[in-house]
Amino acid sequence: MSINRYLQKYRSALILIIILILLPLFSSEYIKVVAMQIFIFGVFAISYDILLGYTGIASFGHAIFFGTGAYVSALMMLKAGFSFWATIPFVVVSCAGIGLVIGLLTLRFATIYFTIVTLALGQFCYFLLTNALTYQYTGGDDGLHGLPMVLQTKNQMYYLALAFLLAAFFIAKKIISSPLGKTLVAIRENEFRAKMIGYNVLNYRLIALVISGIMAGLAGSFNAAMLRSVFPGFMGASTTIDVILMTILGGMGSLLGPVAGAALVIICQQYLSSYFEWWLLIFGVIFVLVVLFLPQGLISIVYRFRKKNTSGGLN
Amino acid sequence: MSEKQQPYILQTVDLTKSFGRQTAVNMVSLNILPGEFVSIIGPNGAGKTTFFNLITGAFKPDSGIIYFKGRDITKAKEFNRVQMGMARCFQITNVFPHISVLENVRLAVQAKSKHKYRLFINADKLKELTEYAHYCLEIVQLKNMAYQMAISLTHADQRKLEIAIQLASQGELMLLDEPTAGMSAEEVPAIVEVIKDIRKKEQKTIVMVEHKLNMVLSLSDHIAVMNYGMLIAYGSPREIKENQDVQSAYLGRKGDA
Repeated sequence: MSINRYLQKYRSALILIIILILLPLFSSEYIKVVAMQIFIFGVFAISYDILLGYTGIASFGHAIFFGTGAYVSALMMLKAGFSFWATIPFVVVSCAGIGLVIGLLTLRFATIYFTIVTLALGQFCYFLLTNALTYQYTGGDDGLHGLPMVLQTKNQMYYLALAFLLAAFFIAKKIISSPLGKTLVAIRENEFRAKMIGYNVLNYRLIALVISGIMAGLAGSFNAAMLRSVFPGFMGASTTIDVILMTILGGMGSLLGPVAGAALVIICQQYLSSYFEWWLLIFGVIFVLVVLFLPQGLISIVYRFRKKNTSGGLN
Repeated sequence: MSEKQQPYILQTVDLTKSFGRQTAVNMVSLNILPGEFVSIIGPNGAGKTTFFNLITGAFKPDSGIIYFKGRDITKAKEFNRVQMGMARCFQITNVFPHISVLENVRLAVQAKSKHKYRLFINADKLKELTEYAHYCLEIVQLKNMAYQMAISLTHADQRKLEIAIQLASQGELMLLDEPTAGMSAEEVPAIVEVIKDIRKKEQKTIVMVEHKLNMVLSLSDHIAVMNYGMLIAYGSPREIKENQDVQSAYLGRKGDA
């Protein structure tokens, strides 16, 4: 493809990226923080989309990975003096390991069983953090604070978070158009048929869970680095519900949708909550409206303009 | 796994499967040679589909052994059997609904390729897979519908897609479970043509369950007749037509056909 055609095809994406690059130059500190949250939760939502939107696995414990990433980074930085970057390999290994264990225990059974077990495991991990026995390490309900700064200025952190989102998006895009990614969609569409054309469905689900877990773990550790604190809530059911909302509101099976969903949820959380006492009620109405009128999520507005269908999108 | 020297591609020995008190498949022993076209007929509930499910591994038999290409596969998993060269189409259409027709077939080709676990390559750029998928669609006469969603096809075309997916699996043994199920009389000849075409172009062993007797008699080398879970007759189409047991069990009841 020539550069011109390339530019044409990705024009709107490029404009959006340029806006995001220029944003810190004319925005307040507060907007930067909100934007960083969106970038990081965008990655978290992308990771959930690989699982729910592409593979068709509904996990109710996705925050386990987010929390693990955050706590592994925080503990290693605070207690062992590691730099943020040096903790990354440990985050990857621990999240991959947890993904493997959870997957091997539960993925061979019906999906509803997986959903319930992940919910229980998520709660278990949350109590593990807030337990009196682990208090001296995890700080219990208070969490851990005063993580060393990864980069000197807020602007640098902003660009790091943006680069993280772009990299995660690019990698996820690569994965879903690969033979493995296409097989995940086939499993979502018809697990039995996928088996009967010779795919080892369990292996593919495991791989999906591990990839998704690693990505969610990295989002967690970036979140810890950005806030310079971790809280047990990172591991809690409300974090899982947030990521489910982001993915469904934005549009499952589209990668970009969940990022838009992350933006919507975080903007609602930040702004509605400061203007309205009953903001959750308003948020609930927004949620119902989106589900009723845009069942394929926010991203379907974009598709409506482009009149193009995505190969991976749910119909 | 025990190795047995024999010419048969598929062999079942005293295969039995019960559901509660109902014995769906009762001591069925069947030997099929490579390249043969064998049809299984019998009244509804005779155990034909259960027999298929035992061969493909959807069910585990209570007793008996299944050999495929001389290897005991009685305990092998479904996907392993497919990897060994078994391909199956379903009585109830079973495709990937929200994926294009071409992708449905391409996925089956991919399952048999060395690329199936690759992560960082664009699947659509693996030309040889896509080309083979196009070839399979051509055989079943669906070439013009390659880019439609599978769910948008007519029932008859979805049946053809089933067969294309099966072809794409490149198995030596094709198991066709009522390929014309739910089709109108006008649509049947096209499927018969497709099956004949496959036999001509590809060296496949085909085992077919089917109710349409004219089709069975014209396509098959051998016919196996099942009733109440048991194999009551086996022979050439002519022998089966003349068999008394078969006539009383099945052929006599014209309403079933």
